[in-house]
Amino acid sequence: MNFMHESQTVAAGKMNDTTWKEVIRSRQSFFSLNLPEIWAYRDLMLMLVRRDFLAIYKQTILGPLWFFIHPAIATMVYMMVFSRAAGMSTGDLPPVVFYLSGLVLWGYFSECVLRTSNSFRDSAPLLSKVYFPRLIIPFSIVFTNLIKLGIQLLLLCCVILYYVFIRKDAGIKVGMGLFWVPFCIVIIGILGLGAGLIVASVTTKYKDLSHLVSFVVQLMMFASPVILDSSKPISGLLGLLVQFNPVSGIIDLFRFAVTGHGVVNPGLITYDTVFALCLLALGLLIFNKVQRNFIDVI
Amino acid sequence: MEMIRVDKISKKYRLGEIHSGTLSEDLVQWFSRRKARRDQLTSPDESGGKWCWPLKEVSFSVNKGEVFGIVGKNGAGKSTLLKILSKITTPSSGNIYLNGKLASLLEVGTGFHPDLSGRENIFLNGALLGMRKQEIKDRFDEIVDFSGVNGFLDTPVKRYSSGMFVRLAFAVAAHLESDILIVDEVLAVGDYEFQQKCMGKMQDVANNKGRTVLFVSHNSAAVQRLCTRAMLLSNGSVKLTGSPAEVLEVYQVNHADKTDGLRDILDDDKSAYFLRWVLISQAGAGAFTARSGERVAIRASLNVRRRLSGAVLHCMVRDLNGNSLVYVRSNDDSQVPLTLEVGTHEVEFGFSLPVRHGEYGVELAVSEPDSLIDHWESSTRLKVVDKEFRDHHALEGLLSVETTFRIV
Repeated sequence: MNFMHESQTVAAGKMNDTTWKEVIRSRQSFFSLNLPEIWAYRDLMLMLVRRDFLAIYKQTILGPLWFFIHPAIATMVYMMVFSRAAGMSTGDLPPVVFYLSGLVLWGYFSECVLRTSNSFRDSAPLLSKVYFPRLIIPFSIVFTNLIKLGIQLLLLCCVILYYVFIRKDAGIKVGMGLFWVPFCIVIIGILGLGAGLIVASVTTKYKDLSHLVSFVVQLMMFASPVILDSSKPISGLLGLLVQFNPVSGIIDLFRFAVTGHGVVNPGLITYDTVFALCLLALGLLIFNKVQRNFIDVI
Repeated sequence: MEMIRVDKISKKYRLGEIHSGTLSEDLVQWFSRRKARRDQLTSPDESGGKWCWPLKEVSFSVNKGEVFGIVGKNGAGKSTLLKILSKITTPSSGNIYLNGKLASLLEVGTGFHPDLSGRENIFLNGALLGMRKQEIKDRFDEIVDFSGVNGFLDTPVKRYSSGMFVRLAFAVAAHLESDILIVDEVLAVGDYEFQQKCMGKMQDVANNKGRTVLFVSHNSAAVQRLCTRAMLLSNGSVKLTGSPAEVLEVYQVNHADKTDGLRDILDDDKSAYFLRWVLISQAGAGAFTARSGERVAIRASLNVRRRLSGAVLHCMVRDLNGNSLVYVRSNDDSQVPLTLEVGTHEVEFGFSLPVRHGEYGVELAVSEPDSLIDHWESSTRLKVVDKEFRDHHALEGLLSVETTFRIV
């Protein structure tokens, strides 16, 4: 009697299975990426972006001016150290334009990687208390940085306009190349997000990796056209590193797009694009795998 | 209508040094595990050490409009269950079926940013709990009214009193439009008046709006008043489901540590397991108190479900810091292997305990030459009465033995 009753419940449960609105399972396919759910939480993403902006500059004097100050100071330092002291070439471009154009885009990349890679740990208190699609956090970081980049592009714009209209001897031309700018930003964003997601997933278990990452990202800059002039052949190991560096082609393209000077290497750009897309796909997969249980590990 | 069905949910963690947190140590571990697998010494699952089960095969179901209370001691698995239900972590096995949108309030003020104003935090918090911006706008006035922080909407919440903070946080969550609401212990904060208001709101939510509430609390009075049904969790499994009065009675009786030497959770799948133990001392059998230094014995009942040959029985007494004080094995003084037939056996471990006044833990285990069959850490404490009744002091030493001093 008892046994019969039991088997009936089981059967009913199976029948009902399709009518449930949501099922939490112990196992989930490796490739399941719930995009509609992420879309449903889009307001949260905007809210997080808003929070990051509002919170950073509350109780500061200069407020959003800091967005300009960072790249401006970095550019000045690089001009002094690399261009003046070390005498490194900046191609046909004035050092200001050369470094600022590289640094603005590079800053976007490195911020995306570093902030994303710490996103699990930084928001652990939040993540252990409330559920929302975890990908919202890295996405919001990329968007926050995109806005920062937008503001910094204004600074770059001013400098370039100065050279176009006042210092015409520098020979900076702005033209149809500008259409490449959004492409560069998107690829760099994808690259940063992908790398950040992978690092974020791995650092939940192995915290020592986060030290390594900030170090590697810094080194990557020194083996990239941010510092080096790619119109001159770079020999040896460094040259090889620059070739392999997945930001090289894009930074050159960006510099060409905003100044009309520099090298455009279609091979490198294709390599960067493919690399970025693969990295993002891999990052999404790993992140998706880790996010379900990371709160047990962190 | 059934809103939640939890079907045999288990959660397990690995005990011990599994994730050292650094890559190099993990790699070393991985290699040794691989080697072990190649040598076929152990199966991959068992090689990693002990498992701990915060939840074991928990099943229950909740219908629409019910306020379902979950009670249990600390460590009974309540928080783990809530975390799984609210998708913060996933079950190791089993499924959960939900018939509607679920929102959980595991902590008040989750995601509140201290530098942002009350208004900004309402939107941020609402979005975190899964509300769309428009929904929050529609309910904004209601939320502000309920929280009673009208005059401070544009003040950063770090300037709020803790009461205001909690009120605002609860207000946002209470106005969530979800079919199932999970509430954990939030009523423990805030002043009495606000607590009453929250309880009223929760009752209202369940009765009038037909929403389902899962309520987890230590507060028996609140469970009694709010809930229509309740469940008692103990050591990760469901002990009882029923009316709040019924469940609370059992909960309150079992709240204290067990003192009867009985085992409360049994694993039916083990081929042998201990059922209970008693202490045999001069005070008589059945008590759990020994005088320090006297000759005592732990008598344990062991249920054997298949014939065991070469079995070893173990008994260990530990102090509350985990130091092993006494360890008795069935093969200590005989080399003849022990053979146990199917059935219940009474066994006795004799020893003396010349230790200080206090409580001590008892562990019993049975093993075969190549595997551990059962290991039971009893929740019943062995009490030792010391002759001198001195204050227990860290400097005093573990042993209570005769000591002398003289100048030679």
